[in-house]
Amino acid sequence: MNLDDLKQTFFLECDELLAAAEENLDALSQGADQSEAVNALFRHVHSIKGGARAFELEELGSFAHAFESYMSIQRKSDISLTDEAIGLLFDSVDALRDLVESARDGHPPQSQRIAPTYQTLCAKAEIVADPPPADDYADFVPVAIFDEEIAGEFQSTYQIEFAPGPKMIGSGVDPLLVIRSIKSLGDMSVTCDTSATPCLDDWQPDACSWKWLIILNTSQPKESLDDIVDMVSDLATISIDDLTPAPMDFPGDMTVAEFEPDASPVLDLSVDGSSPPPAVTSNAMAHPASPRSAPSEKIEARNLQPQSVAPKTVRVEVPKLERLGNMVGELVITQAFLMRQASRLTFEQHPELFRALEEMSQHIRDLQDSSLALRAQPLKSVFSRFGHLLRDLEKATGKKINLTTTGEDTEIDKTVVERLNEPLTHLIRNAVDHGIESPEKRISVGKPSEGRIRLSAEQRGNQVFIELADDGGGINRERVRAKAIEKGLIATDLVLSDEEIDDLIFLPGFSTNEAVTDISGRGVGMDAVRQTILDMGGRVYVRSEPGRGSRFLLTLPLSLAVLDAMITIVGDQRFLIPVHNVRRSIRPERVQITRFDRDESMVSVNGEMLRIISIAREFSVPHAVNDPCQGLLIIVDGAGDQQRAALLVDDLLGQEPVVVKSLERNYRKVPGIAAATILGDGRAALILDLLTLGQSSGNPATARGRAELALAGVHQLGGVSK
Amino acid sequence: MSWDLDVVTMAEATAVQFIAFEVGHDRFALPIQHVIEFRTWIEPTIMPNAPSYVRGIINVRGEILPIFDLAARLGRGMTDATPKHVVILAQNINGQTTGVLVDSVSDILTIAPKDIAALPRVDGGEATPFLSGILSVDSELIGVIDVDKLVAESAVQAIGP
Repeated sequence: MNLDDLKQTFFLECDELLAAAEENLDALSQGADQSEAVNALFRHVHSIKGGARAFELEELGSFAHAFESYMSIQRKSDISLTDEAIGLLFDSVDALRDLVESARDGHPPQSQRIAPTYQTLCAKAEIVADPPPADDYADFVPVAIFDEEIAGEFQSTYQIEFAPGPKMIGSGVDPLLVIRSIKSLGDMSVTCDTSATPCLDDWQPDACSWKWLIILNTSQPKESLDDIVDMVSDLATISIDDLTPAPMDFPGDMTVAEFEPDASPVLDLSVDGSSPPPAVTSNAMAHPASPRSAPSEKIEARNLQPQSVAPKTVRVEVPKLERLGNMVGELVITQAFLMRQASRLTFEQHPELFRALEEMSQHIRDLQDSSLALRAQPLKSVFSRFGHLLRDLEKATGKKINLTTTGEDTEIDKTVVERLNEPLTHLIRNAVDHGIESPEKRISVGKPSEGRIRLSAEQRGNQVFIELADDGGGINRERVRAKAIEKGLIATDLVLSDEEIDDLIFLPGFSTNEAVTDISGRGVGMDAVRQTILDMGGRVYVRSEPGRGSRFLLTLPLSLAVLDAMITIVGDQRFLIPVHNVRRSIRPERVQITRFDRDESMVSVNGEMLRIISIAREFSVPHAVNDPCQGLLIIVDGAGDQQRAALLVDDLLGQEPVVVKSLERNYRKVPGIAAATILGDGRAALILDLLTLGQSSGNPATARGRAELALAGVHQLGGVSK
Repeated sequence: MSWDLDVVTMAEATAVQFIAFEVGHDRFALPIQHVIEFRTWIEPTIMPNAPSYVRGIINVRGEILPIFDLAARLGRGMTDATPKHVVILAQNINGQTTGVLVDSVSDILTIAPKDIAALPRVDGGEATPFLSGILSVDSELIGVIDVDKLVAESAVQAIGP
C-alpha cells in the first residue's frame, strides 16, 4: 500500500463519513435530539479534517476546520439550531462533499457556493479567514485559526515521541508521512533514536526499530496534532508532552475533559471503555525542563470509536466476499451430493452418519445465510440522501414537501443498494416535478399546502419491496395517451385500461414534459428507471389515482447471488424458473387450449387467456413434450413486459435455492437465459430469463422484440379471447 | 565454442512451448501459457440460442465454462465425442476460460522462434481465421490456434442471424 492507496482509503472513508453526516443532518432537520446529532456531526467533520491535513489537502482541511470550529460553538451553546443554522450545515456538508470529490478526482470544485459558505462559517465561528482570491478559489491557503478556548494566542511547544509499532510498515503507512504532517503544523526539530537497531541477522524488513523525538512549536490548537496522531494511533505508540509554559490565566487544575465538554475522538482515543479519561493537567506544564519525567498523555493503540454504538467494521474487498460466496455455494453442492450418496444407506446401520449429516446441513445453511448477510447493507445509506435532495428541490420549485421514510433498516445486497440511488432519485424528482402540485393549487383542491412523499421499504420473503407514494395530482392519463400516440409508441385506436396507460410512461422515448426541466428532464427517463431495476432482477409497478397521487412499487431480489428456483424438466435438460415469477402450475384439460397455428396456442385459466411458451421449441430441445395436455404448464408473471404467460415443460422436479453463476464471465449473454447454476449432481443448469424469453428465437410469431410491441401485443391477444 | 554456447542458451531462453493436439487427421497447437488444464469429455448442458459449435456448458469447480467443438468451429462437422475425447481449458486475453473439444492431446512442443512462422497471406482458408501462426516440426506444419479469435469470432457470429 503506498500513499496513493492510503489516500484512496481516506476518500472511501470520507464517503462514509459524509453519508453519516447527511444522515445526522436529516435527523436534525426532523427534530432529533440536537446535541447528539451535533456531536456526531462534529466527529465526522473532525475525522475528515484529520485525514485532509495528513494528506496535505489544504482546501479540504481549511474548510473542514472552519466547519468544525463552527460546530464546536454549536456544541457548546444551549440554544437550539435555527432553520438558518441547519441550512448552513446542509450547505457545509455539500461543500465538504464537493471538496472531497474535487480532491479525489483532481478537478476544481463544482459548486460556486463553497467560498461563501466558507466565509459564513468563519464569520460565525469567529475565526479569521484569509479571503480567497475572488477569481481563483483554488489558491486559498490554510488560515491561522484561533480557537479561543483551546489554543489562545500563544505558541505551544510539544515534545512528541513517535515509535512505529510492528504493524506500521506492514500496513503500508510511511512514518515519513506522519512526521511530515506534524511539520505542517509549525516549526519542528526531529531527532531519530536508532539505538534499538538490531543486528543484520535479527533485522526484519517490515519492522521499524527506530523512534523519533520531535519538538514542535506551533500556534495551532492541540487538536490539530491529535488529528495526526489519530491517523496512526492503531499502528504506533505516540506520546505527546506539552512543554508549553503555563499561561497565567489557565486554572491550575483544568483537564482535557474541560477543554472538551463533550466527548470527542481525542478523548475516545485515550479512554478505555468506561475508565475516566487520563487527565492532562497543567502540572505537566510545570516541568518543561525535564520532558522525560513529565507526565505524558500516552496514546496507546486504540480503536478510534465514535461514541455512538456503531458496530465495529472491517473493510473487505468485494472480490474476496465473492470468493467466499462461491466457496459456500460449492459446499452446498457437495453437501447435496453427500446426502444423495447417504440416502442409499439405511439409518439403522449408520445412525451417527445421518446425525452428523443433518448437523452439517444445518451448519451449511447458517454459513450460507451468514455469507449472504456479509453483502447486505441497510437501505439507509440511500434513503438518507433524499432529505437533502428534497431541500434542493423545494428551493428550485417553491413547492413544500414533507418526506417520510420507513423501513430504512431493511437490508439488501450491496450492489443493489449502490445501483438504487439513481432510479430512486429520478422517481423522487419526478414526484416533485410532475406529481406534487404547487401550494396554491393544492389549497384550491382542498389538500394541505405541503405535499407528502412517503418512501418505504420492507422485506417479504426473498424480495425487498420499495414503495414511493406521493399525494399529488396523479398521472394525467389523457396526456400520457396522447403523447404515446404522438410519439408513435402505440396505435391511435388501441384501447387501453387505466393501468396500461399508466404503464406507458415506462416506454423508451417517453417523456410528458414539453420543456426539459432542470429537475427531472435530464435525459434519463422512466424507461431508464425500469431498465435499471429489471437489470437487477426486479420489477417496477405504478398505480395512480387522478387527483390523489401515484404509487411506484419496486420489487427487488434480496440477493443477486442466490435465487429460489423451480427445477423443471424439458427433454433431457433441466431449466430453472425463479420462484418469485411462478404463480402456479397446471395440467390443462384439452378444452382449455386454443390453438392458432403450429406455433402459437393459448390456455384459458380461470377466464384469463394466456400465451403458451414452449421451452422445448424456444430452445430447440429434442425429445420433449409438445402437447400442453401431456406436459405441465407453469403460470408465470413477468414474461415479456409484465405479462403473464404459461410455460410448457415436461415436468417439475422440485424447488431449491441455487447459487447464481454468471454466463457472461466465460461466455456471453444469451437471450432467454438469465444465468447458470450448478445443481446438486454437480452439473450446470440454466436459469430462464422470462423477460427475454419468447423474444429470443427466430420465430416471427414470438419475436416481439421491443417493449412497445409487447404491450400492444398483449392487447391484440387479449382481444381474441373476448 | 563459448560463443556457440551463448546462442544455445539464448534460443532456449526464448523458446516457446505449445500443447499439440489432434482434430481429425490434423495437428494443431495452443501456446502453453493459455492452457489451464485438460479434462475428459462429459456431456455438457446444452446451451440454447448458441451456434452449433458451442456444445454447451460445464461446471469446473464452480465456474460455468462453454465448450467449443473445434472440429465444428473449423467447419469439419460435429465431433462424435466419447469419454476418450479431451477438453482443453484455455484462457483468452480477457481472462475468460473456454473449453476446447479436441480428439486427443499428443505432445508438448518446445519450439525455437525461428520455427514459428507467420500465417501465409491467403484469404478464404477455413482455418486461418482462428490461427495465429504456423509451427514447423520435423517437416510437419502445425497451426497455432488463437483462443481470442476462436471466442471472439463466435460472439460476432452469434449476433448475426
